[in-house]
Amino acid sequence: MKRSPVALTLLLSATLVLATPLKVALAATTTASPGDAISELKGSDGDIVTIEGEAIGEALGADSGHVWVNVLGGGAALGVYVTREAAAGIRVYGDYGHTGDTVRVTGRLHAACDLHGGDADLHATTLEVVRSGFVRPHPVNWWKAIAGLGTLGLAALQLRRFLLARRRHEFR
Amino acid sequence: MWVGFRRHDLALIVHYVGLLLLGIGAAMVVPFAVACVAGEWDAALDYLLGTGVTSLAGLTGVMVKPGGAPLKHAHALAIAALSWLLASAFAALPLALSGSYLSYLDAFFDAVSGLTTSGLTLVHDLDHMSLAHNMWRHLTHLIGGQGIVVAAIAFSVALQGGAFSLYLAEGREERIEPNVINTARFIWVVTAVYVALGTTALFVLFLAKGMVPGRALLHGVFASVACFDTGGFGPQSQNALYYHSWGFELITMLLMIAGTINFNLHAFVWRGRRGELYRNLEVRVLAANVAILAVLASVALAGAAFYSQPQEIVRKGLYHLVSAHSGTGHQTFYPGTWTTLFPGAAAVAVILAMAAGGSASSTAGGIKALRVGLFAKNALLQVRRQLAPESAHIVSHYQHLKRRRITPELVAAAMLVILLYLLTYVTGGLVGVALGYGPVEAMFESVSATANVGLSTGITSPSMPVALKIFYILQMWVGRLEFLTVFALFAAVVLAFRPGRKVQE
Repeated sequence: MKRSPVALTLLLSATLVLATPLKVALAATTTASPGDAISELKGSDGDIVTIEGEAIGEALGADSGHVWVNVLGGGAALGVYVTREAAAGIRVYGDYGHTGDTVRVTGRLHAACDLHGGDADLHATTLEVVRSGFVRPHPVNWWKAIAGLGTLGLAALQLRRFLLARRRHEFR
Repeated sequence: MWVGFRRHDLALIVHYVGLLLLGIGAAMVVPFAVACVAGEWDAALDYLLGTGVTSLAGLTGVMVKPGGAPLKHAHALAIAALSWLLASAFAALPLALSGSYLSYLDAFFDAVSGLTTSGLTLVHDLDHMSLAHNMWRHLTHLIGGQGIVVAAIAFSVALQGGAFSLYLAEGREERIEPNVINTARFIWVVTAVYVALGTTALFVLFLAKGMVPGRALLHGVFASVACFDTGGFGPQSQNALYYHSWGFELITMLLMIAGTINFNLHAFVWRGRRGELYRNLEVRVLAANVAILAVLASVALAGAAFYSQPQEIVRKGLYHLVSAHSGTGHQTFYPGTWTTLFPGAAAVAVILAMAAGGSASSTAGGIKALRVGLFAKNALLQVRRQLAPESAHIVSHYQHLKRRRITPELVAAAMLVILLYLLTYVTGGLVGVALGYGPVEAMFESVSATANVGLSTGITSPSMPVALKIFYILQMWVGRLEFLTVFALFAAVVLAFRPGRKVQE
């Protein structure tokens, strides 16, 4: 039975149309979290992607013109290689006391960067701060102080009992 | 004949466990101080409460009079096994209060992982954890890496006549000094020197990369402790990848290698007898293992064409093989990429490295290079005997601190532990598969837990099944104590409930 060229062409076109969204899952037109980018490393290696997340820790020196900014989101953090000038706009980095600035970064995603020893990273072309960071409150739970001092007091009484008993040679 | 414990035996065990718990309570003063200096007041209260509860529990145990009975090896085994479990339970208290764990079980998992220097973690939002809690997590590596009992002996926590039995029960064999207290102190001196050197080197590196001095110092301490004690915790969720630094990888790799070397060997080197480094069976086995597995991993990675430059293969392959062999678990890959990005042979190479482990009497886990070497030499010995005339008397020797002869008893003891490790690896893998994970990932994680490594394919996470969390806790515990100590405790518990048995005074 001869196969219709038209049918084959339609089938091929449909295949290409259906397959394409998998490839552009992290295209620059959509914003993903760093966690999403990491889970799509194999499929998006070399692609221009846009991620959005919290800048954490600090900017770490990479070379004379660039720094590393680690961006956290979607359950994971991704290292972003960016110019010092672009990173200078980040005022707050996330730590115990702070939620860092939310940054949106567009750049090329590498599953194994040749410039950086095979590490997974993103070389930024643009970085913008979309939301400022803020102080994370850690209110003091005074019940811990009461319970802690209480148990330490009881422990001190036990220690006194032990030392008295040892002096009486009850622990040989 | 099975000999169970009597009431005065139990009193002795409770007394000594209480002493060791006192040490854990005292150690919590360090993160308390860090919290006060850093202004982390709620975290400081976590350690105030943790110290109070642990010290009270410890002193309550200490108040149980041992009755003058001498501490025997059977007691020591039970004390060692129970101490590790209870120390983890109390060490988990401040972590559970921190808000960084979704349940007490998760905090207990991390405490066990810290003390056994495994490095698997269930922490939630590590990047926003307080410095105090990070200090405690890494301090558990320091305490557990050298051994809870060794720590107590080194600081002479009133263990007196039972010190040597307890030392052996914790899986220690080295007799560096004639006196076990001096041996324990030597181990801590070696640790202090390497941690100080590592901290200094990393402090300078981090300052150069733009960290503020306080963070640079703390991160230097954390990484040095995690690598020399081959624990693997890190203060950031990306672990070693956070720093994007080949200098960091080089320094920490040297620390991992130092940490995986037998403490006896450190003593030899310190005393100028460096020839032992080259003749020692463990060092030769480790070197051969790393070389063979490095070739396997490199060929696999090169074949997959994942890395375009050979130096990337060398850098990644060597770092992770050293991390796996030493039981550190530091990684510059994301957990999920082990089985998704790399060919199966590369993951297999890492599994074999983890399974084989480092040196005996070091901070490393796994089967241990000495047992692997004995197995290999015994296999060669058997082949030689098969080929030799019946009348020939073939013997084999090996070099481990001195020239030793391979005896059937030595081989049997080594084979028993090898089999127990292999059985535990496979059982943990099967449990993972039964709970829905892929076979390679499940095997990887099981070996990582039992060998106290900490590399992860992503299975270990707060969302993993409770049954698997409990199973990995058991694997980390038995792996650290090398089975027999834990089996002795189980036997004692079973015998205590034996029907018809009456407790004798």
